[in-house]
Amino acid sequence: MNIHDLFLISPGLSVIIIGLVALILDLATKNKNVLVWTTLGLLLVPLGLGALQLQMISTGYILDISSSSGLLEGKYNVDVFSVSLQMLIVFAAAITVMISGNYLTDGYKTKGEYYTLMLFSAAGMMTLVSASELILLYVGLELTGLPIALLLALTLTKSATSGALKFLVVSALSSAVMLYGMAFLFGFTGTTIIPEMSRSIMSEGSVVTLYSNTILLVAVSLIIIGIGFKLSAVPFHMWVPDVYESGSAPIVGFLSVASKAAAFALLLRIIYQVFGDIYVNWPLLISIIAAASMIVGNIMAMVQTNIKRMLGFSTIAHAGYLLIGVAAIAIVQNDSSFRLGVDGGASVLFYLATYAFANLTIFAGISVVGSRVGGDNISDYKALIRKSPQMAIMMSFALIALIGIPPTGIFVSKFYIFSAAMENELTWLVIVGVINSVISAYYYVRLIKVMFETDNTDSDDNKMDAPGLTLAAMYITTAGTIWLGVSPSWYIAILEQGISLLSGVN
Amino acid sequence: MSSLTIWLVFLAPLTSFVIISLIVRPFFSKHQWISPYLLIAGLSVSLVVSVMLFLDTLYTGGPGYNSAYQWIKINDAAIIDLGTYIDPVSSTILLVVVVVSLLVQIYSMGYMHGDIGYSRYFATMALFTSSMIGLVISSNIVQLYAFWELVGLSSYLLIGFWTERPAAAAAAKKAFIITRIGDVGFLIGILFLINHSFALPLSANVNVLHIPDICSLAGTMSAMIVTIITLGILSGAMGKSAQFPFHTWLPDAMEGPTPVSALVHSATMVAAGVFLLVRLFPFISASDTTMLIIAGVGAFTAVFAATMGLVVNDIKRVLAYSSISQLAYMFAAIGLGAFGPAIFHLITHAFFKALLFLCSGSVNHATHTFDMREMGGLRKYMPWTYGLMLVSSLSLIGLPPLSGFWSKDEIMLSAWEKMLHGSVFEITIFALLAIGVVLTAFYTWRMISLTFHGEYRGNDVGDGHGDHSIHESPRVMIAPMALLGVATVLAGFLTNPPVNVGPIHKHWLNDFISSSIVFHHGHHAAEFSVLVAILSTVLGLIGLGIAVYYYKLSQNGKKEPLESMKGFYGLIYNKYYLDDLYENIIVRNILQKRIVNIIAFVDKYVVDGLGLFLGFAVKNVGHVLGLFQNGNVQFYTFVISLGGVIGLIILLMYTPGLGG
Repeated sequence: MNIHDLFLISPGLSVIIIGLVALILDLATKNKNVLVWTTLGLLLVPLGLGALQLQMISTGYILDISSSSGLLEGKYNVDVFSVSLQMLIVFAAAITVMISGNYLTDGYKTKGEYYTLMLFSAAGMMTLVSASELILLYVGLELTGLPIALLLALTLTKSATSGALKFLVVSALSSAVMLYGMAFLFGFTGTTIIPEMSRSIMSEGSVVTLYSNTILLVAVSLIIIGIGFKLSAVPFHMWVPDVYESGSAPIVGFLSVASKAAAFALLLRIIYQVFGDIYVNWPLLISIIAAASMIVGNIMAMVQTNIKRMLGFSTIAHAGYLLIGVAAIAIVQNDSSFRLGVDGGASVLFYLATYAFANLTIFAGISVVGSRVGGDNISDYKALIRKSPQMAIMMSFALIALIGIPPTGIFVSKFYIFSAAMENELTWLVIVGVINSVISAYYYVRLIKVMFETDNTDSDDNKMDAPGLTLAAMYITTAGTIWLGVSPSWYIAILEQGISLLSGVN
Repeated sequence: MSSLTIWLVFLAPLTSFVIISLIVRPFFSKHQWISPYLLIAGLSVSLVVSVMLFLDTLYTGGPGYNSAYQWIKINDAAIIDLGTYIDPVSSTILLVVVVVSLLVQIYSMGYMHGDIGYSRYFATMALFTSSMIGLVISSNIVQLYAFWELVGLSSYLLIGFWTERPAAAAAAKKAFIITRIGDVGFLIGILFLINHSFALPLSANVNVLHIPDICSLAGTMSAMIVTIITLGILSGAMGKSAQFPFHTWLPDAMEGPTPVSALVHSATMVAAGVFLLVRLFPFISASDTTMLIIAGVGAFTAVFAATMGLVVNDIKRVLAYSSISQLAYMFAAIGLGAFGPAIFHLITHAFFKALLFLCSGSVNHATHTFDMREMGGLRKYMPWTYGLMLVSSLSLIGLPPLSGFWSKDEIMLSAWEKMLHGSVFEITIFALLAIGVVLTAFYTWRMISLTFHGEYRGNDVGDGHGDHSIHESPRVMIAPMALLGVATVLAGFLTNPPVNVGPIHKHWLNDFISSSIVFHHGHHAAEFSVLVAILSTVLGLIGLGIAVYYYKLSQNGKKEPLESMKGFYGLIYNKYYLDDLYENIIVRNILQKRIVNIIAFVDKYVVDGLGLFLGFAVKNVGHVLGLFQNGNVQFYTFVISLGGVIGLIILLMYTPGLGG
């Protein structure tokens, strides 16, 4: 390992160092603000390093570990795909730090650990999006999950610990399943390095035998099932509402955005680098999971009375929309085999970013209302427009975004995902998606209605003073939602470049 | 000229809108007087830029297409971008819009003085003006469509400005719904265009949503598709320009404040339909069917609307029917291929009709009524208004040398030339347009006569000091009217003189309009024909003569001359019963009774049943699924495993070579 390698892994490394700094700082100072502002300031470092790496990639300075001999050779990718996702994860972590400040005032006995664990998890996700080797990948996966389980349990209330335990058990199960799938892949190809697997499969499977296909088929389905847990897709979704309900709002927001991004990144990497050469009908499986996720997520969200539970089901539905894009990666050829396209993957990445902005806005609002009112029922949001007009307006805007109405980013994302699916003849899936968008409007708009519902009795209701840092976070994410809604092209261009570099297809 | 400068023409009034609506109205309600000044300042910036753009386009060809940025890329041949396209047509219309809007805003300062919604009025006007400017400079048809809807929205807000009046609210709703019916056609046209992009070869290198590209698109489509798309666009244009059968909203729209009628419902927004057709003229004209329909609709509406104008007693409604009729002349001209004269008439009409409306507002300011039966003899009290109204009326009739004469004459000339070597259709078109001239002259003079001549018949004399309480309007209203009066006199001859006059080249505006690159075979103005000029003047004088005859004889117009023709009078007085057809027969009887009954039946037994069932089902599915959601983690892992097994089975069954 030399300086060059250190630079390549510097964003993830610096996040871990920041986590450690937070831990030490917590011991050194009792002032919570110092901790928050220091962490926040330091998080600009990985963002800056990521931006620098993107800049260097675009100027042709290829940051490929395989070009350097060392510990990480061929195992860790620094390309447009992984760096852009790493930046998204750091961004989500920074927003979470901003909205956590007020949430930690009571209930949490610990503070430093909170930031440390959250940043360790972020580092795990960053490893996950960059790793192209199975063992490193698995390390990233566990580093992502375990701190989250601890964070969920951090308040030590009964419901929190039970939620955390559920998360831990289901997480362990899915890891085991995925590990089993990886073992099959390794057994068949004899390598743990993902790009080399594809070469190995090509040489072995030049004549597709029944035997080879069955092995690969088992591997594919086990991996999809394992990732399905992280994606919170049906039928691996049942932990989501329970965990969302019992967890603290900032952590749940982080989980719904960053963890989802990392899981989709993993799925995309495996699909683009391995599945493309396997003669297995994985698009069908993904389509079915997508449809089931949308339907179950939206229908269940309609009957919820707890806002976090509702958003838990909403995130399941959004995993469904995202999986439409994944299914659309496969372009069916005339001989019913398929090749891989760029649009599907780029649309998923774009959706992840826009979904992150909108969802973080809502969870920021929830963290304030939840800590002020002391409850997460939808009825607690009544007349929010009177109590805190800024929050009510920004949350409504984010909800409108989640429906997918212009000029918000998710409108463009849905448009992009649906059009990618239409081009790949997944018309039925698009119809299911559009119908589900309409259904989802019901419960999103209902929440907006509640927030704007004022009767004269509570005209002298106490104002709800949102902390400045949380409001700032909401302004940033709202601006992001609008920005990607009106000016998506430049970002889509970057993502398309990232996907085509990842897959070698144009 | 940089693209930022071009956008400034749109951004300046938009900034006024933002400042007035978000800062002045909520926080400085004591200082409402500042609102019009903000808007006038914004429009002054627009005026400077639009003059620069016009001159730039006139002398150097102009900036043409400037892309601001790409919004959504549907495919390589269908890209939604935001941009400006400044060509002769748009730079000219832009100038007209800005000038008329600026003058109307100045007038509004006097007219709306003391209104409780003073700031709201100017905020909405600012929104309208910026949307209208955006519409004119748009380079992308989707962008244009967005502004098209925004002007519709501002029109809705302005018609219903006096929200406390039920009639205004109803009129706003009517305008919104009827124009929306037309807009659905426009939207379908756009969707067909997008659909066509998938059929284009990669090498075509066009963007089917880019307006200059659309103009050259007809060759790549089947004639059928061209007709469908052009008819869709036409339906949007007909709705906006209030052409038969969508015309019924415009007379009702007169419920809005009079300056709104002047700006939105005569000079600019209703002319957007004509603008759209000219903007896409090469594409529209590729379909013979569509062109025939445009010409037919135009000629028919020209006469049809004019007849209704003969008998209404509301001065603004006379002008509304007149607007419909004059817009119909422009439609007819486009249908005959003469887009240059259509734009020319659009310009002159914008000036003289805005002036007519402002005059009627001035009359209303004095008498507090729009009913001409309660006016009369006003010329004694309001000399300026009378003089300006007379000039603009004579221009509307089309008497030389006023601007209306030159533009209407060019349309008549185009129709005449078509007729000379045309069939029955062209002869009918010309005959209808000729009849329209006579009718126009008649209702115009009837309006002048009832309002300004004879004796004052009103009883609303305000403070009880007799007729002397009726007074001329304040200078802030008269001054913009006078400026429009100057434009009304000069705009025709100076822009399209029939011969070279000193430095002014003959037909320069027409040649300029036709020089836009999208019109591959520029339309050259027909040479001025003395015969046609005399003919159309004589026709106007005939109508004028009849009106003078009748309204001198029948004392003060107490009895309408047409009332003796009972059947016909009843027919036109009731607007050909079209409102009744639409509202009573189609909406109430057919839609509500028949169709709605069926729908109600279906709704009650099928939809409600289904809804109840679905609600029941969703709730219970929710509950049943909720049972699964029992918080039991062992169960969750069981479901995951089961799901895994099912997934594996699906893969086994549907992977080729194995099971499927």
